Amino acid sequence: MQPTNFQAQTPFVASLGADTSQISPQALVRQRLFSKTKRKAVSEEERKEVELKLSILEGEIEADIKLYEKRSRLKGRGAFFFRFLSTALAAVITVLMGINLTIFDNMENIRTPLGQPLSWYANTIAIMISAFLTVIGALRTFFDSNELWVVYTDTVSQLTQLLEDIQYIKIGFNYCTLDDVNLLNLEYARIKEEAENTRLRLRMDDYGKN
Amino acid sequence: METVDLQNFSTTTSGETSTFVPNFFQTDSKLSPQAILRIKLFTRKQSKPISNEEKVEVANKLDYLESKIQKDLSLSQKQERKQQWGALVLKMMGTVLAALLTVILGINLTGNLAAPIFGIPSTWFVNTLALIISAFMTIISDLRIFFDSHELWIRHSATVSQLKNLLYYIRYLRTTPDSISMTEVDLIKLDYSRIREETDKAIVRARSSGIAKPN
Repeated sequence: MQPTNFQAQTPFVASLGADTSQISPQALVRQRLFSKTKRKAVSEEERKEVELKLSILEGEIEADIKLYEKRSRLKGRGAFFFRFLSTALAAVITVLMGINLTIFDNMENIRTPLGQPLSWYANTIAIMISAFLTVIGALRTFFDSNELWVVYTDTVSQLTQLLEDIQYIKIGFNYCTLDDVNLLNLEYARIKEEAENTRLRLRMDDYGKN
Repeated sequence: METVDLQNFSTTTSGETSTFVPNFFQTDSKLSPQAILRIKLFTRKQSKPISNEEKVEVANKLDYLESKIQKDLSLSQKQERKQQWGALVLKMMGTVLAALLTVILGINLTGNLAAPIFGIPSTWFVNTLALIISAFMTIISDLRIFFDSHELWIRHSATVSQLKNLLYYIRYLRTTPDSISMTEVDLIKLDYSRIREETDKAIVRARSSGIAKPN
């Protein structure tokens, strides 16, 4: 999104003197929508079109919020599960490798199934857990739970804000122009495109690694 | 007050109407965005009469904003409490376990304390316990990074305070409902959106910084 072009095309003066490169695209859209110096009532025909387009846009955004919320929840659980599992298993390995079991080797009342000393079992279990951690690491990379959790959280937040902007605009329908609706539509498309592009990029990264 | 700040919130006059130039994102300004909003809202020299249609729209939009802010305020207050407890519990657990570990490793097992238990030297129990506590501390420290309670607690505290301010501004403006213009309502909406965006970005940042750290 090019802030300078935006300003050249519209009569808004919201970001006068501000460094627009540090403003998020959504903040720029909001500035353009809610910092108008002059308000003009739209014709009945335009109002109907605006109403129709806004209702379609609203429906799409609501559906997408539900979808991304579900995805975000799933990925959040996945991120927590993989993270907690790998940390807990790493801690178990530390304990197994560090514990002194040679003390039990000479005790007559302690017998093991294969006749091996207890420290042998501890080392074997530690090796198996270590191998399992490698599998978990691969699964974690494949599902990209961590990165996608962040991306989906951000997408839900941006879409929710966009929906709230629409709800706010709808209160003063007579002053909402087609340009405003198109701007909202462009912003919606940008949010979705960013989320999908990030998802695809993460998958491509995995493909490249394998 | 800096001259540049004054220029940012001063009203510009075009013809007969007085228009505001919202400039929340001024990077060289020393004033907070909410301070700029306050000055823009409450330092008007004269108010322009507004039409009945605009009055209705202003009232409806203020109602909408008030209910949204109220809802967000309750949510942020809940989150603030939750994060506060999370930060306290995780921090205390880490500290208490570290203190316990120091005591266990530093304790001098002599006399009766050094006597074997079930034929196993008591130092073995102490060392094993220290090892388990140390492993548990690793898990707690990782959970702390994952949930990032402290940073989010601070963020939610700031959000609660700013949202309370916004609610107060609305109540204050509503004492003279006939003089509130759409520009002022839009300014409040812009600031509300800024607060929401900053909070959401802080949550995303906390999550991404939590996952970036290797475990």
